[in-house]
Amino acid sequence: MKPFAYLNPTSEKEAIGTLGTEHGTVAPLAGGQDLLARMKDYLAQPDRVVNVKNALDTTITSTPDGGMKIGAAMRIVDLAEHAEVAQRYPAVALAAVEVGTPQIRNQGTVGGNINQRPRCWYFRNEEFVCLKKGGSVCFSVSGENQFNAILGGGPSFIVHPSSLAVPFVAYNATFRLAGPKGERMVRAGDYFTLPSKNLQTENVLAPNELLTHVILPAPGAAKTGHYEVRYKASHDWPIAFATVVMSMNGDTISSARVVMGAVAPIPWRAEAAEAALVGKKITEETAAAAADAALKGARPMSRNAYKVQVARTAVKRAILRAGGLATV
Amino acid sequence: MADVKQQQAPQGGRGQQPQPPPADPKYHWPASRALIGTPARRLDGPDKVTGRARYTYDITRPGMLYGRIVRSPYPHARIVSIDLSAAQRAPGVKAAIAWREPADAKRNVVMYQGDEVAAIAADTEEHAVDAARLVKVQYEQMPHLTLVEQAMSPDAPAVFETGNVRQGQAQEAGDLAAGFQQAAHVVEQTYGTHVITHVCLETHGAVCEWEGDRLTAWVSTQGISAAREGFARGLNIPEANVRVITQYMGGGFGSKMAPDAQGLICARLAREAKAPVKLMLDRKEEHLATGNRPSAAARVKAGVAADGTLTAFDAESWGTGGAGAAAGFPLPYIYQFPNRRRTHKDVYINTGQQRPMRAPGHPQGSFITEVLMEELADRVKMDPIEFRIKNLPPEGPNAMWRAYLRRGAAAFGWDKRHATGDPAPGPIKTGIGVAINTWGGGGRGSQAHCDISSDGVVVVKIGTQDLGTGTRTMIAVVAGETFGLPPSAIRPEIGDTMFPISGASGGSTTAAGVCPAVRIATVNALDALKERVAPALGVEPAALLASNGRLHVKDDPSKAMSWAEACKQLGTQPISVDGQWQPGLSSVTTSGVQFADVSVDVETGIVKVKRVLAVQDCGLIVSRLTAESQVYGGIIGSLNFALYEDRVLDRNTGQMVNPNMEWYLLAGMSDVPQIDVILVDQPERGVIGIGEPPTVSTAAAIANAVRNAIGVTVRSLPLTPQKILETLAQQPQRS
Amino acid sequence: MEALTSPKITVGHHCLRLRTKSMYVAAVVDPDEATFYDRYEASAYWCGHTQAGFGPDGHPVRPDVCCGGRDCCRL
Repeated sequence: MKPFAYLNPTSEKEAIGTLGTEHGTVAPLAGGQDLLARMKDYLAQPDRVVNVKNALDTTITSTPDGGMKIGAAMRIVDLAEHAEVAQRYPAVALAAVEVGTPQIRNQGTVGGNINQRPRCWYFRNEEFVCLKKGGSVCFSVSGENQFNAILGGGPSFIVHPSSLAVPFVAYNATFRLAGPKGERMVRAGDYFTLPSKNLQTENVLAPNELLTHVILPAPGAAKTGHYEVRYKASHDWPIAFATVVMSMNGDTISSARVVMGAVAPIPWRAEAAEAALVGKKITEETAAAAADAALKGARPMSRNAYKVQVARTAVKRAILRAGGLATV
Repeated sequence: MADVKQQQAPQGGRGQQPQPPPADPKYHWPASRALIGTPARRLDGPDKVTGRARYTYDITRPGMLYGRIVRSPYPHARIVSIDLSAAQRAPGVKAAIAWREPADAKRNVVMYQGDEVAAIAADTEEHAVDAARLVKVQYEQMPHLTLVEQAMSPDAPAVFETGNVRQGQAQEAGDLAAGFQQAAHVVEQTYGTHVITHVCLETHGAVCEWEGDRLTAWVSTQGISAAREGFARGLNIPEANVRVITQYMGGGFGSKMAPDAQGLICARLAREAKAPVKLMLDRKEEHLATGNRPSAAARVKAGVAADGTLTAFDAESWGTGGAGAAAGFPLPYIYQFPNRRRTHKDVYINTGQQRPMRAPGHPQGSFITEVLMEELADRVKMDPIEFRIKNLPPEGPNAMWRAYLRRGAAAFGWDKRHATGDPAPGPIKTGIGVAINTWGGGGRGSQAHCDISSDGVVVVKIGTQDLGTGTRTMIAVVAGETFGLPPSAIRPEIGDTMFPISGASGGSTTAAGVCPAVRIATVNALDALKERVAPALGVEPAALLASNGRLHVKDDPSKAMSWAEACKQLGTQPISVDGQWQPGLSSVTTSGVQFADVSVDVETGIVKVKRVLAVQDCGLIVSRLTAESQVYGGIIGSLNFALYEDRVLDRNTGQMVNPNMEWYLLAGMSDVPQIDVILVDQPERGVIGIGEPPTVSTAAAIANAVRNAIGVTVRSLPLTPQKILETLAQQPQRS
Repeated sequence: MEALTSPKITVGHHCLRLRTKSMYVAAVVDPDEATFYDRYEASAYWCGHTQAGFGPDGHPVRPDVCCGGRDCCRL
């Protein structure tokens, strides 16, 4: 591991003051479940590591408008076990409890989960100098792409690794970012960036900014469903998953947000599926039609066509769960 | 190379097992057994769970340095230059060596990603890792072979001097044409299994310490005397100058038979640095360079008569064991095809070479044959169990499948099996499947030593090692049986080449080698003790018996001494005797049957294994709990083979994309099903090992259960969601 | 212990440095095995000198190529 300076600021302001203006030279450290592994593998070689656990909020509080505000340094286990979150934002709790292993959930933080780097095996192996590492090709395109993106259009085909980001986008959360010039509020749906716009990172966070809070709006009477498909029951990354949040007018869906995970370089909002839901009652047919619409634009590669089917199932089952119609 | 036809003896006709002259009856396993066969608790369990047990990884020596190997990132390359200078100047570096000679055409080519190039020893592990990266190696990449299909193509670059493919001899028996004429149905399909790696929880490695020209090596090995011989040969020193110690080791599965290059490198670094060196590999090195299970594939044409009798089997098979290594496997496996032909090719690619992996060849042969059997059974519309029973070799103590199939079927609930394809509505389909196994094994030649001192302590020394199977517990059970003492009263000492020699732990031979030697040594020790104690009791030594912690007179149990009292008679002259393995107390060949119960989500392709039942024999059951543990471990390993593990190589660069335990999938607790074990005791056969057989057939049983659930056949492993969904999409689902 | 050798290796024909598991593992062969399956070759081989699957000349180690004809062979 490359030697680095270690800083331990105790306030948000102090922490921001330690950051740099170039990606990679200064690394904020929270739970370390991503950063330390990348440093040990020489994928990250920061000059300065800034512990932000003592500088950022670790708590969750209610907001005046009936929503909730989650500190970025909150541990994932605390989010997963938070009774009010489970009751009001069930998809967040469900996603949190599926993250990694008990050890990772006890160590990892909400902010770290959102900002972790891609888990694509080409990105994670030093031998492959891929597009995201300044190389000229995305090795997955002609290589082993069974876990790579089916949506998003490249030129890099990573899938976004965050489990929490998907329900945050679905609940239309806002991320508070703090930088040297103060704070800015960014919708979760606008936070993540496609590789066609930004190859270097996966979001709009500047090197001298920190993600400090996730602010969830009041959930209202929305119906929520979350469904994750993964190969193993223990410690595994999902093949595809989906969160669906629907507002109802009686039996009829008045608005919907359908977001898929592990299918694209960002949490993928399926607007066609949302449109297919509005004005309908929650039925098996509606769910299947919305799921088909969600995957209509999918462009699988040589070995990941099965992910289209898996993602379709995740969307369908999330909708059925929201409607209380789930059989599996 | 042209095929050379070679006639084989036809199958069938049951030979007698080799029955060697029995050992002296006094050594025989007692007819009434107080300890043997009981669920004795694992003797070193508390040491393991509390961390007191010291594995090679835990060894530290005064002034010890840490070694690190520089390995080739490329699958095939010529080394143009190796520059150690920057590494030598790095903090903490005490030695830096080149393991290749760029100027020597015979020593400058790397044949796989992970091939050894250079090495570093430094004062900390972190310094060693950092310094290794400063070794500047200039490579000239050469054409490489990654895909088996690519290597088999006539257009492939000639990477291997003797050819990329080694064509084996054709094996034939009976009359193939006649066999197919008798067939009412013929199945013609291609089946395959993939490459997996051993994934020993403790990685390979050693701690080497020189004292003059004598080497002490703590090695994570399954053969201490094998490792001693390997160090001696590789370092060109007398075997007598090498001592190998392995008190505890975290799994080998066949891959830890020799010091390997990393052992020699460790010893060489220690010599250069004049300090002890620890060199343990990391997970990536482990995947790349310490062995794997070869792939297997076969294009099979098989015939069955209308009454369900197998008539003919014709197969071309191939597989890869990596760069220049064999990839053979038994085919067909166990079931009797009277007319058959098989040709096999070993295909070489630029990866690390295969090594024996828990039942070498058998899981592959089992999968291909058992899935074929399922397809054939459906053609003749027979129940898969009845179909198997019809086509098995003649029954014998080493061939008990008929009895176990019936026994297991009753215990498992086979009568509830639906025909191929679960008719239940909804996306979750359930199914059950079955597959059988065999393994030879045996074991011989072991020597043991037993000391009894006046304080009553019994020490049994034997130069075996515990691969993780519970060797100490087994030794204590056997010795305890002889002396009438609980296992906790026995102190087994193993894992040191200073002790009497025993074989490497491979091929399921440890129990059958060690138990007879320990039995004989302890009977000899008891005889010696009786000689010394008998005068005090006023009887002949032969009149004494040891049981329940006492030595007593056979016909007058009131004339007795406690064990402690008896041993006090020894005074300053302890008992110290040897024993050597003799035939008659152990045997060879097991049979087993496994059933699997699965559910498959046909909308996601996810397979869940709900239950596995194993009916398994292993001769005389010595230590019931550790024997059952072997079955559990074997089944979990085979479940991983069936569903999860897969060495994935990037087809373009030939580099492994999942050399970790994140994307190289392994079952966690939540993925392990209910496992039920029916151990069949065969005391009359003596001791037989059980390490290998239980891992042979789980994968095939799972594959057949998946087929029973979804109604279509997935003919290759692993059974990933990708493969299940693709197969479902290609084949119309049968109801 | 008796000298362990492998039935797969012939002294005088194969290189003395050729190594395989059956040289260290004291198995017993059940003649009935031939009833259960035909012969097959699954063994891994290595060189005692290099302790690797490649000989001192860099080429793979196997019985068919470690029987004279290579500079490194020791018969």
